[in-house]
Amino acid sequence: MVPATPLKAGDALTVTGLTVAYGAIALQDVAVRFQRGLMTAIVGPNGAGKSTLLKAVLGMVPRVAGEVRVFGEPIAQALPRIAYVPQRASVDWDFPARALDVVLMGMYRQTGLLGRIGAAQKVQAMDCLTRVGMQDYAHRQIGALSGGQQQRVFLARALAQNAELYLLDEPFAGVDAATESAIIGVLKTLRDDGRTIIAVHHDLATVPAYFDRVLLLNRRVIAEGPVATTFRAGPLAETYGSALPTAIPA
Amino acid sequence: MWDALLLQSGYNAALVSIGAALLGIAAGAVGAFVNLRRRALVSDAMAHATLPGVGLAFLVMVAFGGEGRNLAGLLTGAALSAALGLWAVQRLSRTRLPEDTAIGAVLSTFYGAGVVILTVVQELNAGRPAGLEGFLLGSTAGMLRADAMLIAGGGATVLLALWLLRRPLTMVAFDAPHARMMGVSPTWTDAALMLLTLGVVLLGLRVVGLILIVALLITPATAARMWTNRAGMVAAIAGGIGAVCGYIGAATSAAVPDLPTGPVIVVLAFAAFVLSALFAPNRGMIARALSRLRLRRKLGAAHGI
Repeated sequence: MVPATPLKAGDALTVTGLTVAYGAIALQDVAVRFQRGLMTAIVGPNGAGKSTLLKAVLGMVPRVAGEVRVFGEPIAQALPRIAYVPQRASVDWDFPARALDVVLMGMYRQTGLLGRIGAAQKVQAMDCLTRVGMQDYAHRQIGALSGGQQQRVFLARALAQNAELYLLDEPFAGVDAATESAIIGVLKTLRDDGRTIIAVHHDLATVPAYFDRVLLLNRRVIAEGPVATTFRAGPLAETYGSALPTAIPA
Repeated sequence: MWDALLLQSGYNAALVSIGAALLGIAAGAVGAFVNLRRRALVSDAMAHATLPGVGLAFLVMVAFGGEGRNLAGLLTGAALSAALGLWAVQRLSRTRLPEDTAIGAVLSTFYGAGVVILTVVQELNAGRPAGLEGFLLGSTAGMLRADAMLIAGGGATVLLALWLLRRPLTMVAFDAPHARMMGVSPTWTDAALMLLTLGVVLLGLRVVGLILIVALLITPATAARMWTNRAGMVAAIAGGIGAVCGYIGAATSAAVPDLPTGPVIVVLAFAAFVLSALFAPNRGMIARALSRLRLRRKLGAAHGI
């Protein structure tokens, strides 16, 4: 079978034979390839293992079996090329850090242990905040921001990492329409810049408008491919185990 | 009293006051990160776990015919048993015990063992054990120039290491999984923080005492948090508060006979916290009440009341 979208110089992420168990099996024998320079949605019901897939890729949860390669390298070597935005960062929101400080933490590889944070780094961090529309909140303590604003600050921190592969866990969960459109704009710009985006996504209605490809997941891979041919009623019903009320082409 | 505060009550008292101020800086700054990483209780267990080491080190030194009260020797013993206590907390936490239970068990067991050993030491009546009880609540009496130099040198070393590690420490305290993705190992960073905390505990044993040293770690840092929203500034302000409390506390204790240093320093630190909680801009209670009042007035005016 020939892939519908031509490969751009290989895959960004390949997963083979991945099995993860927390007592019960969370993911079973998952094999999937994510192409470079495209935006892929991971779609599936609650408990399908979508977040677990991202965490297993990053080595945050132990793998029972399977192999993960990012740009052809094992994860430990590829980590500097990856940025991860968790669903809702589990941080102490009263922590003494301003939005700008959080973004600067994304530049640690660049500034290093002893490297001083100079004017150039601050300009760069401010630029990342501007790209997510948060430039006016740079000096606010992070706990004083709304949920959507906090999500945008964490996206700005990921931008500061200047990664090639972005893994996002429900970037639109609990954010308002303005934040959602700001975030999708940023992600599409990254994609057009040749970077790879993989996002766990809940809202089926926006999949065709936002993403190039879709991975239907329910503990195992149901289907993976271009949205136009894969995001169909048949495979979706198989993924969710029932017919869906949304108007999805058959 | 004023003589002591103004460094005019003799060379030794001045030395001790300056030593206590340096200890206060190191404790406050390290304590800021201990607070941010939520390690206050572990630090307290570690401090209490020094006591059996102090007693055993005294016995060992006397057995080898040395001076039982050699500070460097006692601190070595304290460090070893504190490390053992820390290991015990971490080992117990890996079983099904909740961490606070593990901390409580280790703290009380080590402290109890320490009291037993110290009692045996007193009964043996060898090697002049008088003054060992000063390690409980701190004492400036009989402090030597060499002791003050040790505290000053150790404090400077701790501060230098803390300054070098400030960014990894902040990143791990804020978001450990992200720090790991940025190539910062939370395991090693936490180990470094515990080592720095151990350094402060050892330096503070003589001046503040092992029962109350945790207060010098966490109270100035809690007060400092009221004044700023930046982690680095919290550490700097906490160091300043710790310095003032250490200095005044040691001077007061030197001027009043039989007054242990630790409790005075801790009460001063708490006073600094109360003042900060009341008067700090933005986060202080008065500032918050005023801003609520202003908001209510504004709403009242808008509704024509």
